Amino acid sequence: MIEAHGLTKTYEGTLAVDHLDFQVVEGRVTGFLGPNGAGKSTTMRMIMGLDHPSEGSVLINGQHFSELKNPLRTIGALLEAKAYHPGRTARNHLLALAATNHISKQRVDEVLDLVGLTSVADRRAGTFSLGMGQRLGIAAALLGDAPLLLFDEPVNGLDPEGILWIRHLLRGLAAEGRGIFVSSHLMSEMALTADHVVVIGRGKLVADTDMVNFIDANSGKTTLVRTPRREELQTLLTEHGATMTSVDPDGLQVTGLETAEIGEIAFSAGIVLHELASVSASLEDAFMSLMQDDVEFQSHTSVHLEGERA
Amino acid sequence: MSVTTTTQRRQSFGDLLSSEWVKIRSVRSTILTLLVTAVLTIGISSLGAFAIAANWNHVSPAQRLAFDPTSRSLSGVLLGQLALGVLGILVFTAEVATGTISATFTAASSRSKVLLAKIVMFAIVAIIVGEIVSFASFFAGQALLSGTTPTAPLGGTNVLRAVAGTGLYMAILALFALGLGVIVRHTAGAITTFVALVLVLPLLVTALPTSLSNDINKFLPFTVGQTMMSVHSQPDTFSAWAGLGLLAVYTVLVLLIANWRLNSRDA
Repeated sequence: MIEAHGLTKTYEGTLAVDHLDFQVVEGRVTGFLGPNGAGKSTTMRMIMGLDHPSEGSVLINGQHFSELKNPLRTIGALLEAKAYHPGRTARNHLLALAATNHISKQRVDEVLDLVGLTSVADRRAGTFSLGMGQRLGIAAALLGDAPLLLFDEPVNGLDPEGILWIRHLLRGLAAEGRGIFVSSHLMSEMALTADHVVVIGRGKLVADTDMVNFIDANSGKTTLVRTPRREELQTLLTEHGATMTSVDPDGLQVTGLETAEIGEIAFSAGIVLHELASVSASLEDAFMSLMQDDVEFQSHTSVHLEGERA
Repeated sequence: MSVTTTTQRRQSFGDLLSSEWVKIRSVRSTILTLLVTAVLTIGISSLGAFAIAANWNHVSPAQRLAFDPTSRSLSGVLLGQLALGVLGILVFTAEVATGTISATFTAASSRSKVLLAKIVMFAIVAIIVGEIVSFASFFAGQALLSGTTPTAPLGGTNVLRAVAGTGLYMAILALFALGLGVIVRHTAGAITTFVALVLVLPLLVTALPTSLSNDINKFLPFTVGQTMMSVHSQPDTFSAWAGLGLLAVYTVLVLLIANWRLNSRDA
């Protein structure tokens, strides 16, 4: 298990990671979501002992990374897309890493096969495409057969086939009982892969919940209503606990109430509706709305939803 | 494949050493830099020997008297030491430049042990290479000198010390360079610093008033090397071994700073 306690990283006075508390447990895929620059990579680097936390701590099975007996056999990681020497062959890159944790040559062949690089194992890694390089990084993460695995943006730059492959791989690894922590800025990809999500924005924890709950709480509950008696309806709906924003002179974007409830409330008050439509926000939209406070993400936000979301 | 939690032995220093060995032998730049070291050292030493042999008739009696065939046959070390130093620098900076360093550090729980493994592995390579090129230069040089100028037999006074000591000097200086590489992190910056310390600093010091330059000069790595190559004792310098000891002290200090930087900084 990975446990972060008040994990914080400051760069020259700027908070990159702000008092994060979360856990990554075995047997499931934990998605790590946030826009680019939210602090995902820094968090992962702190888990792996590459960056030192300014405050707080992150423990792997109760130990700091530097206390691990055999790091590769405890936690495997894909952090940088190209963490290899371009002049070294894929096999030699893996052999050098394997040696550090007394991992056999057979295991190197095994992981090469697992990621589909056997045929190019003796080619210099500098000749690899982005996708092949990514596979080599994944092979390195898998070397130690570790019960915990970290992947930082593993689908970046991959073709659809590669993305599908990674999705199946991560699901399979979790099914074997491993704890998978995978970061992405693509909500849609996470929805298909993760069981659990940890969402951060500007270094702060925004959500830490089951994927199913996250989807329920953050999508498909917006209703667009048009009525000539907008202000009246607005007051009424507010009394029923809804939050809303005006879209145009007679339109309202309502959250917190089911579409049917809105219709019934309007009917019982005798308010004519010109339009009543449930807007099923995609997960991408949900993610966007969750991130709306994030400055780096505000470039073209069209609809502002008010109120609190999980 | 299932998740196993069998108890494993702790990562050992030997594991890290064997990893460094795989790394050093699996890139072309190692072989290339070693070849450059050998060609520069042996080639320029031979040229130096050939040149003086060809001009021996024009050499003044005073110069003939002071002629040191051993030191002359090692003149290529001037450039060879830089090439070996560059390899020392690359041991670390190549990992930073390629991003391999994050893979290395996430595979090892102690950065200090990784550094020590790099030092030990490179020290072995550097000593072997330093001694090979030093002895090869000496024998090639003596062969070119023989028949024209006086030559030095390996059994002569201080000759073996000079030749073997020069190989050792190259190796220690290259370890110094490795430490600079860790501190500076960038290949170009580290090479510039290294060349400045080894070659440019002595030139600057000669521009100072003699009394001052004599005092400073003996502390420079370059002077240590010159003294080691010579069979005669030089004025205003430490003895050959004391000088090498001084260089070793510099190297240990640089490596200690490197270790501190490595651990205090984010990778």
